[in-house]
Amino acid sequence: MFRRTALPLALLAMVFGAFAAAAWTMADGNDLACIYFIALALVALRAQTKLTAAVTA
Amino acid sequence: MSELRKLLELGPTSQTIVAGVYAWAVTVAPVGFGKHGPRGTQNWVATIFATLAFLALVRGVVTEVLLRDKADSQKALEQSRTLTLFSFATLSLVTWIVDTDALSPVRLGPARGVAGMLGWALFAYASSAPVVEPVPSPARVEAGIRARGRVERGDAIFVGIIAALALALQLVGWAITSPERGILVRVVTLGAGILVLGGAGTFVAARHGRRIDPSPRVRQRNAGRAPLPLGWVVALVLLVAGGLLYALTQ
Repeated sequence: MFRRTALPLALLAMVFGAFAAAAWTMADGNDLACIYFIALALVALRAQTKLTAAVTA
Repeated sequence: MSELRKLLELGPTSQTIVAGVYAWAVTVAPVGFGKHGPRGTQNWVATIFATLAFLALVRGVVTEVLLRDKADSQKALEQSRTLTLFSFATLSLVTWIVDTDALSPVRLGPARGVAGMLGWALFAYASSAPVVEPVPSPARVEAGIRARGRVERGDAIFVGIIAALALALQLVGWAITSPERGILVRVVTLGAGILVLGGAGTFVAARHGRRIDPSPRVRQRNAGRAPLPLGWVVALVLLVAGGLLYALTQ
């Protein structure tokens, strides 16, 4: 249950939060923070995709 | 009368023409028929080319009507559609080149610019992928086709929430004064929305996927456990830790 549902959902929430933070920092003019949050979101998204694939494979 | 009926029954083939007329009315006609000269004068060369662009669309409709019911007219129809596409686009381009002043931000407002972009996108889409017309053949009943699965209520609610969150990302950054940064924020939020929706789609699809374990022994050993993508999780933890460290030391 944890690995099949809770962890992917938590990662998805992290992806959304990181993207929202990236947009916010980009609007504020903080490019470094924006790049960091985009990288964080992409790594979280990749982890979520890999985890989902591993669960169903 | 029968020709008028034919025109009304154009059906799917008329989509390109309708989109073309819309794009012409929003972006070409105001340039060709508007009075943008120094003393409210009209640019007659632009008027001529704008009229020719419209006539190119009309020629396309007439050819569709005349060739549609003829046998072996498929190749001629395709050639006519290609000719309509290129002649309309070229004549519109010439109209704009002849009267560039009409395209300045003073005369072309943002709303009309977006409407025109939408019209040309529709015209391009309708031209590149025309609708396939139904073939009038008797329906066949085939056995063994699986019914499509129903969308579960929980999935619909979940995807709806994610779509609302992806749309909420679009609320950020509308008060930015610099246009370049505003465009960058829009690119980031649009890309983010698409990726979030993609991630949610993967999750929803996986919920209904089958679990196939290699053998009963492995199944017993991993009962209730799924493998964890350790590399990516470690990278994520390191990235979070690095960000926290940077924020605390600044």
